[in-house]
Amino acid sequence: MLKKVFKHEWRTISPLLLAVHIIGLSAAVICRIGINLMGGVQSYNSSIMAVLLLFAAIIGIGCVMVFTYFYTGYRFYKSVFAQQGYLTNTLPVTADQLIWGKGFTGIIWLAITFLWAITACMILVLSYHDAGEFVGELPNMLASLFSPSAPAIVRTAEISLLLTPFFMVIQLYVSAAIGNLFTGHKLLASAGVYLGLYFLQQIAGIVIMCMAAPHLKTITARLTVDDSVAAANAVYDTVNYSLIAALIFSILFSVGFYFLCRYVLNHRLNLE
Amino acid sequence: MSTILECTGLTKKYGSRTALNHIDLKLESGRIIGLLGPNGSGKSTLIKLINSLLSPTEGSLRINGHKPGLETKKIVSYLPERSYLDENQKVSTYLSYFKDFYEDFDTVRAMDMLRRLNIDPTLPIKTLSKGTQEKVQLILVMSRRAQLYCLDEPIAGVDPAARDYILATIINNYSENASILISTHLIADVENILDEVVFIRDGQICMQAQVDEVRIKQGQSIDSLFREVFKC
Repeated sequence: MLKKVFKHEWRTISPLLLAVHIIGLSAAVICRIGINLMGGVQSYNSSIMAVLLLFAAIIGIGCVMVFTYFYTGYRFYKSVFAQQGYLTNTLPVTADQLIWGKGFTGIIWLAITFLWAITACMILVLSYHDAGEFVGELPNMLASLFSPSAPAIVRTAEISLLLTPFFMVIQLYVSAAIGNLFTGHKLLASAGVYLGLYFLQQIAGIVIMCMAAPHLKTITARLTVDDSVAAANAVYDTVNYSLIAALIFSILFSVGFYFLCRYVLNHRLNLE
Repeated sequence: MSTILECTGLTKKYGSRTALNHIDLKLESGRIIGLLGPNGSGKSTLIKLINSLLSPTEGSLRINGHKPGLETKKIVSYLPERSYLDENQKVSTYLSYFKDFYEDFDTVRAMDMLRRLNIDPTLPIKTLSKGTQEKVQLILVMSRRAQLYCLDEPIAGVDPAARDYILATIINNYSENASILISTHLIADVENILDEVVFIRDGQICMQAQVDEVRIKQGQSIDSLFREVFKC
């Protein structure tokens, strides 16, 4: 059933997202041509129009990423908690299958959007030669990033990067699930819950920073005694420690969000 | 005959408002049951509870011996009072959707019903009229070989000709052992197909009776009995 949920969700959301990404990429190519015609942005005497066009294109890329993210959340809301929920919630599937089936679609599209954004930026900024070099070097870069000898800090960053789409999607889903508990204006309530959860995570981030504060004192102390190697090590430890703490917080939040979403689907569905 | 639905002390509250108040109800399989009551009496709430779309505040509900959940979703076919069809999808998309998720979905039967109504499955839902969309939804629901069909206001908001079609579809497409629970306030249109009626008012069952008993013993049609019971 998980496969079937995924298949139908994929078929439903992909046409629009595919169209948006193709249009976005085409727009990036057109912008690049425009930038080149205006003299480019890589020299000191770049035209203001070219810089503005580049700036607009980068904003456009950001908009596509944001749209993709919130569209996956909106689709979940619409298919589970709005009118289509009358069908979705009467299918013989478990809440877990529903969350994972739809979630995988969102996660895959977020990953695609990430890669799409890198490609679009390359089109905008890199020359044909530089882009070729970058693509040529990519396998080596990836190999060194994922090699067993990579530093711990890189490992932590990689795990965070791989898990981020899951964190993002489950935060949207739990917001929709909690929003469903309200008697009216459920979509607005879901948006409010999302902002509330975001705020909560920012507070957690501040807590992590506070926890890292003793290490910052160590760095300052090392710098004061002009022990740059020890200071560098302390900086490394602090960043690594902060990343690990942030990752643990994110995992805890996401697991909590997942079970909350599951609980609402199983026991608190409110299709009034 | 086995019991297809059993409610014990079933209560549903929306905040401070009680939609269903300690309902005790038992329905046998193989019957067409009319769930009759005025607007806001709790008919849709009961049907949503049967379909796990709402959770009861108190009491219990059993469908073929199971609590509402995965097992009951396999045997209950539900037609909501509103459309759940995505207007951007095609009719054929929903045929494959139902085929994938419901083991008891009969694609041949669905295609046959669509053909009789001259509905092209390749058409997007948004190109169909509201009445045709309702018919498509009914065809999907009635093409399942379910044990319990829950039809929430299936004839509200459609013209008399469409009503006849809908009722004929319901009668012609359910198996002898299955039960149909029809919620409506348009009694005159459905009373000829009903075996049993359940009257509901202010979230409470005020009467449950066999249609023949009402006609023979009380010498009344269900419609006139309804008007008498729910007289304002």
